[in-house]
Amino acid sequence: MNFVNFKICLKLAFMMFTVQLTACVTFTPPAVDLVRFVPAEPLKRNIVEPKVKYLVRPDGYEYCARITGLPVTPTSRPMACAFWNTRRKECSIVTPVETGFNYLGHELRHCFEGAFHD
Amino acid sequence: MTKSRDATPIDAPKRLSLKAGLLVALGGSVFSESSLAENAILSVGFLSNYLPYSYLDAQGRLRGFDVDVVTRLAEVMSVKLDIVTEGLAKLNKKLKVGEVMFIGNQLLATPENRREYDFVKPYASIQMVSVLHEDDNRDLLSLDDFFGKKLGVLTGTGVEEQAKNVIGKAVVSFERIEEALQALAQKKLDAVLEESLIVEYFIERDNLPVKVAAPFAAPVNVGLVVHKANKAMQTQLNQAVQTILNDGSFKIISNRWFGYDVSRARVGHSLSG
Repeated sequence: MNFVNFKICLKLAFMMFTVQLTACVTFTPPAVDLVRFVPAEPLKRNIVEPKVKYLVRPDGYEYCARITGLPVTPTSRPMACAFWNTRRKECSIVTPVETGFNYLGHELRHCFEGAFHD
Repeated sequence: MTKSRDATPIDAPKRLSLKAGLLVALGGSVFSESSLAENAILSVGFLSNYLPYSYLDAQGRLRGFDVDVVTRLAEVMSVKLDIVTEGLAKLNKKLKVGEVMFIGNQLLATPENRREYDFVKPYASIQMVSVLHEDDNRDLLSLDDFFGKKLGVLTGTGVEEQAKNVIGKAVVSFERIEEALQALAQKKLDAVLEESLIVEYFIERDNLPVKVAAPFAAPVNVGLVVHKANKAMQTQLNQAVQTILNDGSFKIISNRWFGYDVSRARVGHSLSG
């Protein structure tokens, strides 16, 4: 291998390493939900006191992708989801088997506050 | 069938639909209006048998959630409505020649419809959901969960086809969704799959002991539709929809028909990435 080829290989290796690092980074939990939160004041809530159910599903990623329309891709996927019945004051949180408190906390906010992403 | 509904009192009404017809006859553009004149009469097409969105009551009056929303939009735009009720095929023809300025029902934003129409900002979130008996606390989230259970669906729909492909003969088809919901209320079925707002309406209207349970698909893209060339109408309707969402008037209409604000999705998520 001559020096030019060696430099190209080195560059390629570096690029692959960077891509791998990026792939790892994409699955870090959203920082916003790593802190304690207090639900919005009752008047601003969608359901003031929701009755919450927590469902752990082996098909959690796929179910959440299906009901939110967010696809499962190599770099992102829905990690948890929630759906609610405002009239009945009920909310269900769905996660895959492996999850984290940050995801549960985020979905719990949805149970109180409804849709707030857009 | 044509019915008129006052949104505001008028002094000098201008019939936009008639004007549009004349423009067609003269070979001009149907949709050359840059903006609506105040107190103009706006022809709007509605489906006449589409509960709870637009339907004729026992007295032959057009009622419905979409009718109330469009009436409020007309108030915001300071125009008077001239309501036309037809089937979708005829409404489509009338829209193309400018006899109606928009269709007052939210249509599905399918690729075919997007080629045909321009869509206005949506005002209601609609989603396919499972419906269970009030006493039923099972968590049935996917078609796989329905193996060995009786599932009611509306006949001749994509849902029926998909459900039959997965769970076969356990799928029971109904001509009218009210019949499926009644069967569920009598515990003759395990669940029904149907669009969320239609179900919410029948639960409320018929005081049924059933409940909306889990979503089965993502919220669908819907909206009022205008003719492709009518950007001015689309822009004004977009602004009017935003106004009624902001000023609280949509929420009042929504509460009247469904008991809560249906403008927001009833699902949330955490996304990686």
